[in-house]
Amino acid sequence: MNTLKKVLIWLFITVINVLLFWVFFTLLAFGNYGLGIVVGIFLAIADWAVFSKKGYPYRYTLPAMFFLFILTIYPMYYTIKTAFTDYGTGHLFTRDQAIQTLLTDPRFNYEPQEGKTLDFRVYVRYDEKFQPTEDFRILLYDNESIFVTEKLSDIRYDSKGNTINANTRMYKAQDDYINLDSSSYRLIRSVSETTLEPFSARVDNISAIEDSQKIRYSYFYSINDPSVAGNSAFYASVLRQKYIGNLEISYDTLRFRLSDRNIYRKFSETYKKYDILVTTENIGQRNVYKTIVVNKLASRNLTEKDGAFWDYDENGNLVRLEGYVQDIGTGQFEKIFKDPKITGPFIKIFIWTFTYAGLSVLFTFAIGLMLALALNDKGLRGRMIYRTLLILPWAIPAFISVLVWRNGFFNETYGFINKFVVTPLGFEPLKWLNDPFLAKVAVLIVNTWLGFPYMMTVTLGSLQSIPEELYEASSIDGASRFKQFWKITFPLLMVSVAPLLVMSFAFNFNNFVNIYLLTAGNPAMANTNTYAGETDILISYTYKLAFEGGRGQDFGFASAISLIIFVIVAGISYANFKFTKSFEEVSR
Amino acid sequence: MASIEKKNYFLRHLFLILFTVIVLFPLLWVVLTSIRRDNAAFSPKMFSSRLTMRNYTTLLFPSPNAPEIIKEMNSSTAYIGKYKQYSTEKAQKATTVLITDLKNFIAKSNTELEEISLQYTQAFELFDRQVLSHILKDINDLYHKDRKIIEDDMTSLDKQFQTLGIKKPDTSHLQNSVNAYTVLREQAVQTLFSSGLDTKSPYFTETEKLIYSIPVKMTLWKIRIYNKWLTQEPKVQSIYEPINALSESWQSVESEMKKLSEEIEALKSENFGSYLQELTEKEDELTDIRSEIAILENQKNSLNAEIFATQNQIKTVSDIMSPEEQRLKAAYELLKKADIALPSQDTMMWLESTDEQTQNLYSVIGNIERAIGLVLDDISAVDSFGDNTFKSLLLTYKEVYGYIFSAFASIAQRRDEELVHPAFAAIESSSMKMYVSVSQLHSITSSYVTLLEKASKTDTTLDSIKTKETFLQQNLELLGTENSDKKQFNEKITFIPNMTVLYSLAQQDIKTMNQASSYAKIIEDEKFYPGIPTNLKKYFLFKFYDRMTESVDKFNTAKQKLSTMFASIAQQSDILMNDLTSYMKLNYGANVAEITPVENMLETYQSSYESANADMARASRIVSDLADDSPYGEIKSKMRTIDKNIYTIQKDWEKAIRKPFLRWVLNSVLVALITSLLTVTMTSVAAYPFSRMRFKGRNQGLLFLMIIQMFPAVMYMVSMYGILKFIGDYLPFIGLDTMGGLIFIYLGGIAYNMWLFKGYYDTIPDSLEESAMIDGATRFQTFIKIVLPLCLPIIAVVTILTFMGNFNEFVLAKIILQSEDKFTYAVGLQSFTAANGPFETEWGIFTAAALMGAVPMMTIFLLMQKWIVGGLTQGSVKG
Repeated sequence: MNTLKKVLIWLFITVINVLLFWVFFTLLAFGNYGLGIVVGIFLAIADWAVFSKKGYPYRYTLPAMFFLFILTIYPMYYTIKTAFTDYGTGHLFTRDQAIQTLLTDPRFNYEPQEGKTLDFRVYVRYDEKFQPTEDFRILLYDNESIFVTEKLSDIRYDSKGNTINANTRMYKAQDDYINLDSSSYRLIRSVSETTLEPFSARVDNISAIEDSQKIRYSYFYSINDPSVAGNSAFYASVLRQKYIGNLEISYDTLRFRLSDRNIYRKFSETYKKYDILVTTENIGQRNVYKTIVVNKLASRNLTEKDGAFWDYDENGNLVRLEGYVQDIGTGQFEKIFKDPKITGPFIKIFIWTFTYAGLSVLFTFAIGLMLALALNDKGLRGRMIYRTLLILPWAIPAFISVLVWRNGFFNETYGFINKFVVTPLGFEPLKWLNDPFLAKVAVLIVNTWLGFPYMMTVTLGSLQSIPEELYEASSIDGASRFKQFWKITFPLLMVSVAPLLVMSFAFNFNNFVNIYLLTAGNPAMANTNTYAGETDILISYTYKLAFEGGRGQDFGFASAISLIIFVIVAGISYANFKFTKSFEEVSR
Repeated sequence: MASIEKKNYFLRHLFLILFTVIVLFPLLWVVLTSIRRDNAAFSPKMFSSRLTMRNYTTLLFPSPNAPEIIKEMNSSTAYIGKYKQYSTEKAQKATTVLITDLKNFIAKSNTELEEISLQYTQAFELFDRQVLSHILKDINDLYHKDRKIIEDDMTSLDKQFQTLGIKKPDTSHLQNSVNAYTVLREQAVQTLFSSGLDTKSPYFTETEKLIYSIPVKMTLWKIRIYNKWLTQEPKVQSIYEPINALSESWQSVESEMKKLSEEIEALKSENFGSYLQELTEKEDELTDIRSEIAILENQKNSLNAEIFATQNQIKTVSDIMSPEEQRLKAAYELLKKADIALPSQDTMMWLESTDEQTQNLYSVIGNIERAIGLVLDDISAVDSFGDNTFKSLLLTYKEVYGYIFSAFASIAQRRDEELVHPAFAAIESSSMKMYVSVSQLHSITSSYVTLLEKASKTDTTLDSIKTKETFLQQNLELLGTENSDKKQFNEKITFIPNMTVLYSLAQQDIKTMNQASSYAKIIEDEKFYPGIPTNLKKYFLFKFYDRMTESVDKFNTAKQKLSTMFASIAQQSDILMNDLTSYMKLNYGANVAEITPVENMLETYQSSYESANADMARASRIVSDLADDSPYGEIKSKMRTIDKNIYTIQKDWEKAIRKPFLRWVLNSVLVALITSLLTVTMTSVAAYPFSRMRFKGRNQGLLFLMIIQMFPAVMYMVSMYGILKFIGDYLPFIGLDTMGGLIFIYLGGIAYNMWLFKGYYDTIPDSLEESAMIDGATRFQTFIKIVLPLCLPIIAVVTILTFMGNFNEFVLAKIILQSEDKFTYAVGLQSFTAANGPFETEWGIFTAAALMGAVPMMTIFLLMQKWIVGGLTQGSVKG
């Protein structure tokens, strides 16, 4: 029993080790050094914890540590790294990936002017239920000859399972027979006439292709033939989508692809425009090898600037082809402080973020304190009922309440406030979500509604912990109620509540849900070329930069702002630790 | 002392109750909106009494309604969507089920239509039997109130006549003729009722209404009703004569009214002549000026439009000219370099004798040169023209063409020289290209200049006239305020004839609903006497019966349309059913054939449902208004039933957009549950050594956990997205847009829970484990067997709290999930509120969905309150 257990444990450790080693090396091989190193360090710690007596306590923490490493420490590194790059729309891939795209993407093919074009017909093998299968052959022809393709080879897919490329070869038919390297095909005609004119008429009566194993491919589809138009759905959504659209057919040295110049109605000679070349560059004393891309047509090297490959078009203009991520140092931060179209909105957002967080804390605390003072009386009947009812705004998930406020209350045309409060009082309907000032008011109203129950609850808790004797003693000394509040209640309250206020400030500083769901940061700010809105706070601005597609994604810039938020929140937290300690000393 | 305390509490209660009501109002709104039957977004009512649970059932038990079934049939017969992989037999079976469902719907709706018809009939019977007498009594009460108002007005007028010392005009003639009219009216009504005509016929109702309405529109009645009715019922002849007599009598009433009016006018001019004259003159003048202003404004608008169009024309020409500028300039430079002298007499002679093409070019260039000169003259009159690029373009042209034209003969002669040749060719091609457009340019610019002049003239005139208007208006207002008594009195006495007529008529009570409706029409629509105030609901009872009739009419129209539609759909589904096998085979394989019956069904539905629905909506709207405002209990409930039944039919047949709500909730629960279980398993184990053991890095570790839990996961959003994007390429089940990915990301939020567990472990005494270890248990065994069972409460708490936190998480889910069927509840709920989306105003569904998410979470929160609040006051905030 014990041995079995031991064996199992060792087996488990081995498997995990092998797996992590594999992940480690794969990550390094794919060039993801950051994640690779994090996994490597974790592996080292894990093995030390398992194999060393001293590491015993760490064994407990290993699973948690794994996720902490990958989902907390690595993201920090990732954010910092990204903040110093131009990662974003136009710069989404690594340089190697960009080169791969230049080499494989059909956009970078060219069809020579006097290249050969061929019409084609598709022949499909039917299964026993007479359903078309995805096994097919293509018959291509011009005015002289007929060609037939063989089976597809070398099909490559992307991560989502879409075909990127497929290859096949075609062979010329002679007297309705096609000799392949290993087998042969025979053309079967419905009318055995091979001298019809024009030549295409001789193709029209080929009803099937049969290979040497008697597998028959039946005539299925041709773009020029209305009698098979019913099959176009299968052709377009399966055969062309999956294979023919990305198929390269070779014949001797010629390469054919479905021609976009002929609106995909024909195959035509198509070649790659770009190729790679390894050159050596002399840096200092040593030679550095570098991959560059060349335009085969014009035999010139592509220009590389601004993190992208550029080439000249037929009018001699430099055109951007494909971008890649590159380090730009402190470029993103310089942008924040130097580009006037970004600095202005950024400073506005920065100030509003502090204003928003500050006012939220102020309003929620003021209302919370007022309610707590009203409820902090044991003689008051039904105080538990009040407390429970008043806590409800906190109990409902915030995103639900915010959506209700947005849709039902602040909607300009149908919303409750405009329809039943503002208009009946004789005012024009208020533009709650489109006026910069009113949108800010709306955001604050909702956030106060959401936040005061928390303040009420914590304040009530602290009020109850203030000893009665203090009040008794002071009233003997003749202090008024007002004086009691300012001299006893408030200072003692602040001792326990102040840190919470700071934390609440930090929370509202990043209160994305309220802003995003209520106004989405809108109305849009004028005079800016980023996606900034009047009610945006830093975090929602970050989100919009990174994920709202309107003006392209800018992960690099978003990360730079994230870093700034990191610094601010860290500062607030640090200050809070310090304060908490000092407050404790005061209370002692 | 005690009494003071009590008073204090009262104020406090008042404040707390008021505050609570305001604060909780949104929640109340959500609850009530989710059970409204009408569309809250469009309704003028804050809350509605028409309730339904339909929003909840649609979300919780989504079953396709009729149009959705037809669409589904389209998919099943075409083997698309989820039917893609079906065999013919299977698809056939599925389609058969759909057809049966559809037929059930049709049968059900047909029964309901009949049912509603029956209810309408019952409602009318009920009205006649029970309500009629009450309602007539109530109507007459209101009627008497109106009469009282007229009476009071007349008395106060009498007094004013007395104080002003004017003799009140005699109304007795008018009264007499109205009395005669009333007698005739009674006779007409009696004849109508005793004629044996069908009282249910709409012609009958209309005729009765005509008799009771003033003025008596005899001719209209003859054309619209009498002639048509006569073809069906010869008995109608008997009522023609009395109504004709009535109409004539009304004419005499009108002539009496006219006489009286003239008398009053004379009275006015006699007593207030000068004042009135001034008033009328000024008013007339103002009207004239206003119409003049309107005309000018019109002119101005059309001028502006013309100016705009001309500007566009010029722009077009300039677009043709600008590209040639560089060419011409270059040619000009070349020519200047070639050092060409001005043509001598000989050269000119040569030009005259040379080939036609060159001569032609010469005249073209001449024309261009002239045209450009003229255009420049035109334009220089205008202050600014756009950004003046056009002007500078023209100046260049003028210079170039001036030179070319003067030196043309020499240039042409030397055109074969190396330097001159390209320039000459360029000039030739450019000139020929622009010739037509440039020669038109002059006419455009000259008209442009004229237009501008006209516009500025109009503006000046308009300004001066407007000043006049303001002046006059002020004058008039002054006149009005100075003589406000006179003005009022004058206005009032104009209505003496109308008052007299109404008052005389009101001596008799209202006897039928049609009479009531006619009266309401006289007051509300004809504005016969403005002294009687009207508001939206005042004559509600008067029109009660009318509206019931309108409702049933609308319903019958809708019923007619729907029955036709049902019949046609049923027929098509029969055809489909009979030939199902053939149809299915036709569509099998890669072939796409049109299944005609299904297409027909779709088309029938699309072409006829909307209009039927509009009628039904109107019918149900009226019925629900009647139900809301009716003071008579029995009929109220009847109306409600009708309203409800119509609503059922509407919901069964309306075009529905569905969201996979249940799927979202399931997704949320799954993600939150798996995450919380995994988190708790990991953290409960990981927190143990921090509580029990001392090791290197313990304090730093704790501090680290404390710090990182202050940074919300939102801040890592870019990196989270990046990580999942990267991982997804290799492990698709934890990539972007997968639940796995979301769970993976949520596992990062463990720091806070570590602290909770550690804190709880600290409260469990060490001695238990020590004694167990003495008995030979390993550390791990003691943890599993002793510590964990003691910790079950905190395990439960942390599990629930993590569950809550993840269920409520929005941002990361929004970033990671993209396809609708993978949404969590939070992301899905947001998609209900998308601006300009189909659900923006579907508040019923939205609030129901919101409430179904909110209530469970709220309950959990209230139950877990102690832990949540406790955790927070200990100094750790987690949003």
